[in-house]
Amino acid sequence: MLVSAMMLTAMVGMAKDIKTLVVTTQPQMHCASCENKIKGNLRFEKGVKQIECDIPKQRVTVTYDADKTTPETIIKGFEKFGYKATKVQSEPKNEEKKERSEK
Amino acid sequence: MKLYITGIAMMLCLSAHAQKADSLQADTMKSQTLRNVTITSRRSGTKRMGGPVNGVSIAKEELFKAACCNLGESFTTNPSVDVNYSDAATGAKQIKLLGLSGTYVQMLTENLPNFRGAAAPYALDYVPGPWMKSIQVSKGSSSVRNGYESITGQIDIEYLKPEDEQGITVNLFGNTMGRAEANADANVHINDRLSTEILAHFQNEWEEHDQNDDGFQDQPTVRQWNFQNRWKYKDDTYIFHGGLGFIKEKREGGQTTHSPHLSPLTSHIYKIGVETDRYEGYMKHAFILDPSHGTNIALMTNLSLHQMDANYGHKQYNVNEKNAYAQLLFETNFTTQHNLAAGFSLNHDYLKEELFVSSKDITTTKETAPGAYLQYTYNLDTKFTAMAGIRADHSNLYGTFVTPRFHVKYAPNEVVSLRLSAGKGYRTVHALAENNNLLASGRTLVIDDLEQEAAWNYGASSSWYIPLFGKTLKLNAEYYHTHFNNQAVVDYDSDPTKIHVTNLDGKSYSNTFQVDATYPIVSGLELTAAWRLNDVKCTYNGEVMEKPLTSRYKGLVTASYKTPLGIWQFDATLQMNGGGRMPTPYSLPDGTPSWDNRFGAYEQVSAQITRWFRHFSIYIGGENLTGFRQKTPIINANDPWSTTFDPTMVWGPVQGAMFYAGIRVNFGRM
Repeated sequence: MLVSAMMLTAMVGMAKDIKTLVVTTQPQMHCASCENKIKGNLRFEKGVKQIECDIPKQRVTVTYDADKTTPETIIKGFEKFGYKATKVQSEPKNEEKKERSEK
Repeated sequence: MKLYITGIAMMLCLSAHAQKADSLQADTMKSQTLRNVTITSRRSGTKRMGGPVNGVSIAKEELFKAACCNLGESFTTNPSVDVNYSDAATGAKQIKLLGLSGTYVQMLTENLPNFRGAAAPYALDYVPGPWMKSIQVSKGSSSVRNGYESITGQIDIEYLKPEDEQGITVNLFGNTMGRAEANADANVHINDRLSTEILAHFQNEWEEHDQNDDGFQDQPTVRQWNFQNRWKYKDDTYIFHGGLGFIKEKREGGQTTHSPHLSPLTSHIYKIGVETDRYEGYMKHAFILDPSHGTNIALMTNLSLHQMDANYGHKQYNVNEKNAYAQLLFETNFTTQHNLAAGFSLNHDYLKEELFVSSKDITTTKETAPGAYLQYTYNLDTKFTAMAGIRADHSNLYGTFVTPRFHVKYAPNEVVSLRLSAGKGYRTVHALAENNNLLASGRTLVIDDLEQEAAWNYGASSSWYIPLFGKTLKLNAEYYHTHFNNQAVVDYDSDPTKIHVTNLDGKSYSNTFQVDATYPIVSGLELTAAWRLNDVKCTYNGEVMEKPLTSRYKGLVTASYKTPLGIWQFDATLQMNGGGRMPTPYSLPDGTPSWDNRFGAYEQVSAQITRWFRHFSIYIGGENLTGFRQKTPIINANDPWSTTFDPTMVWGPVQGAMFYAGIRVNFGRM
């Protein structure tokens, strides 16, 4: 019973459509305070799983569950705390890249 | 067994690698490279201070781990600072640092001396937790800049700043002991240079609890109003900080019912009442002369007025205390290696004390102490820092005295650092004002003509930042020795009918040894373990004895876990407090001793869960979850008018488990 439940949970977990969104921001990030502001606010957006900031490259990488949110919703989420986000690229996850190369 | 341990170690390593970094941490700030090893960790709530003085900075993140309603409750997760009740009747608390009384710790707010004399017994309740931005705890003899008084260390409280992000935060708190609190901080940037802030606090502890059925409230009921208005102005060459504050507090404790065996006609209910009005004001002016060399002149001033009217049974004690402090300082970096700070200071204390016991006794004390100091710091590529300071002060009561202090830090690499310190400290004792809660005891409080206290403190500490499985293991070991040349000794031992505050006649010293370690086991989960041994002895009636009511050791384990996005936070703390010596007992009429010679060890657990939302957070938690209580915190509680009635024999918690919940709401702050 327990094994079945664990397997079911694992299957549901695997079924998640995890994607990443890379954006630049306006105003630009200057310091850890800017970074904390972005992370401290964006984390409450539905479907956001992880946020990484790269200040030298001026990039914010957001990992999200595509079943729960969209890049447009996330970009709108930036506006709630006074930032404007512009999509740079949407990189496929490593696993997806691997799958594609294998194909 | 070997396999089992290896398995656990492998699991920990795998977990550590499998987890992704905490998204909430600032990626740019918490990564450091040590010889090609990149270490990333969750932002720690407690950070070791970088200078030559050994100390830690407790940030807001750490204060969020527990209820931290006020300063006294902010050290739950800190291994260095103990907070104990001074007695079981008044709610007075005291800090202990390096095993010694809180009076040897210099209290600072915003780097200005504060909460002196009569404010000391209840000062830990005067700083609401939500007002604090950080607390700096320095151990050992500190810098000479703030005066000659710190002997075991300094605690500096930094309030929230007017220049912080604009907005309003409201915190509401309630607990199962009948305590409710409301706190608010609001700030506005009037223009690019000028900002102001309001801090407000109200607390009401209305329920009378008597969990051990001794007829006495375990805690007094307390009502407190606390308010501050702070300002900051800054331009290229001038910085101003200033503020005003007031505290109004009323606490009432004592018997809940009349002693059954005493006649209501001939005996009254024993009550304790303490009413306090405190007004504070401060100003800091800094003139920046040469930003490239950090050259500046600053004038810092602080003024406080403290009026307290207290009654402990039939004893009445009123004190009016005024303190004024000013410091003019000059600082410059000749080069990046050489820093010089010099200054003048002036401290004035005025105390008018009225004591009504069998007769009215009025005492007025005035002390003015001008002083000057010089402090030189040599810094060689941050690897070697030496700081030598000396100050000379003249007191109209105790004459001229010199305070030398020396600190050195050697950090050959980013993994290890070593600190050594030596220094002297002095303190003028206002014995009755600082210990007025002892009037609650049925014993007679006898205070001799006291000399100025003087002590030397020596310390050695070593910090290690060891890369381990892609994370950093933080280790710290330290040893401190304090010995008194003169001390105001509170003697409970010589005579069971008296508490005798007298000048030291013999030896008095403290040795403390502490080790602590912090490691993020998996991403988001940080564990801290600490152990401290206290060896504190003093001469009582010609005999060197262990200081009474002081634990021989303290152990602490804290665990803090944040989910990857920091939306949930789980914190738990286990404190292990060692046993210690009780004051010498006396024989009861039936021949049995009045209490045991020693008290035993006990454990306390606290835990909190916090859920963060975009504009608010909710927290629930519990304190003293083991429910441990000292069985008889008040000796002879049945007969409060006798000389054997004594609520000062406190070594442990007087209340059992307590649960609480609270909410913090942000308006306007992102």
